[in-house]
Amino acid sequence: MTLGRNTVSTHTTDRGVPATSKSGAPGVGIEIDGVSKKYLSGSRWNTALEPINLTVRPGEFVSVLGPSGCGKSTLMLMVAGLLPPSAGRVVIGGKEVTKPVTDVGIVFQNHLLLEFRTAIDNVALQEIMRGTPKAEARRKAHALLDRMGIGAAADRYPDQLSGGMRQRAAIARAFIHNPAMLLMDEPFGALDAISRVRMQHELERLWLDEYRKTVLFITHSVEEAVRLSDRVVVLSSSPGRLVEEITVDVPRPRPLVIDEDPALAGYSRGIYELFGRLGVFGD
Amino acid sequence: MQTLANKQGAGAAEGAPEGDRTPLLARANVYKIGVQVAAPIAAMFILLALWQVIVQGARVPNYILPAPSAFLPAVGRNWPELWSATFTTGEEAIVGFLAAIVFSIPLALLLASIRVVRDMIYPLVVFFQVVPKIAVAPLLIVWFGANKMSVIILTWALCFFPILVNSMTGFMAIDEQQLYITKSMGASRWQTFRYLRFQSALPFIFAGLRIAVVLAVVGVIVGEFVGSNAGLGYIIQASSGILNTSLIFADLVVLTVLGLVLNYIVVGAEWLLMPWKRKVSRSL
Repeated sequence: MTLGRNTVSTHTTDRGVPATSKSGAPGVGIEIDGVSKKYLSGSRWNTALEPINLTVRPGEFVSVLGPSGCGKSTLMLMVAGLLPPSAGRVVIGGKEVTKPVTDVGIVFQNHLLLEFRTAIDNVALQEIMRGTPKAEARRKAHALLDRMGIGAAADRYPDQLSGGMRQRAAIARAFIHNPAMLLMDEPFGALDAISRVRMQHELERLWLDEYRKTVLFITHSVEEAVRLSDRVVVLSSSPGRLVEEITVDVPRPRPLVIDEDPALAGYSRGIYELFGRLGVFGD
Repeated sequence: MQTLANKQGAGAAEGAPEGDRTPLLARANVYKIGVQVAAPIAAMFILLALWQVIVQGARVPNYILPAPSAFLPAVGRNWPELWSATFTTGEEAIVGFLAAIVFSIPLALLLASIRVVRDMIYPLVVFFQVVPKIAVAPLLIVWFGANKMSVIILTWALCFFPILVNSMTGFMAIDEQQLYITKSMGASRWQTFRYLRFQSALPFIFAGLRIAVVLAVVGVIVGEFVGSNAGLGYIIQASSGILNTSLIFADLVVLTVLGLVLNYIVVGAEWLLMPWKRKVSRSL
């Protein structure tokens, strides 16, 4: 199953039953219960997101896939407790979200590293804010950056890093504290096509080997969603509405490019056809 | 060392700028820095030479416009007097400037953090900013007497507003998404200030300090003009009464150097406190 790779974790194809890993418990479940979002634009209420019901199991990797303007980023902010829903509620690990969730790692498309801290200090900040002594936080951060292949760039400021390196640092910052879930909003959206494939691969490996917990991944790339997810949730746009949930029943680790696996390619084709029927591509 | 490390490690990461940290004093850099220092000095000499030639050629009287050959030696001739005046003026400028920092930055933080306070006080701030502070100088003499205190208060008043307004802008100019990240880290108000707001505001604060340090010298000179019996401003005032134009120009030379030194103190502090803004030549 692990295709000869040297890993600590025990992988499983049986979705929903998370493998054990270094990170211990499989993370938290997320219940999105009739959550919607409206906002006032001038004197009119616009609907960004129609009521959505979605359950993410502990340790599951779920992608929310949709065209721009489908409210998928809004959905993520509501799950993180950073934006209050207009209706409905989000329940994480059995508790309703009413304020910013802190047992979480967040990655945005924009890396959002602090420009005045070096890569290592950006990653260490996550731990420092949570009370870890500075020296220990930095040691942990360095070990993590090393594993992610950017240890040599640890002392550079974000300005001095390439796009891929910045995103690696942002990802390291999101899970150095081993949070119960990871929220990622188009984390590779600003990267070139080649870096993107590479980062997807690294993320899967990281998730399998180091951090086997709940991931909610927002993307507009069909290939990315299929390549990474246990389940893909498809939204339509204006206003955002959940149209389909697709379970991607393909063992991991998966090939670099989805075309290599007929099953993955099939899922991808299916989603494109769905988008076609929804009129996402115009007439 | 850094370069070596880059080649081994980060080279593996795509798009890594290879060896972009050349040693600060690489040979090419020494040449560059040399040119950067030498070029303006050369320009200054050319300007002084032109000045000399024109003043001599046109036979401009010394009391109207002295040639460099007249006022530069005057610096040496009057050195003890100018030197002690520099101390007086420098001290007043620095004390006024520091006092402005001590009052304006905390007030800026208060205004930026609490909406009600901002709504109440900011209109007043704008009002006082518009009042021409120099016009108030004679009033200060009436209140505090013709002494150092008046000079320092005038300097303080001139420096106060640019620092306040810029710092306030800085404390408020924070990316909402950046706050998402710190909120998800469970950062307290103090942690958010310490790890995010303060450093984010630093470039703005220093923009204010750079404006203020120039105004500090202006404030001191005007203060000394109006009511003082010591300092570089006082020497200018006294010399103009007896048409000692060479001494005025000698004084201006010293004053310019003082202004430059104060300015570079601010630039140096900026370099120390904002290491991420240091421009190391990376394209060699």
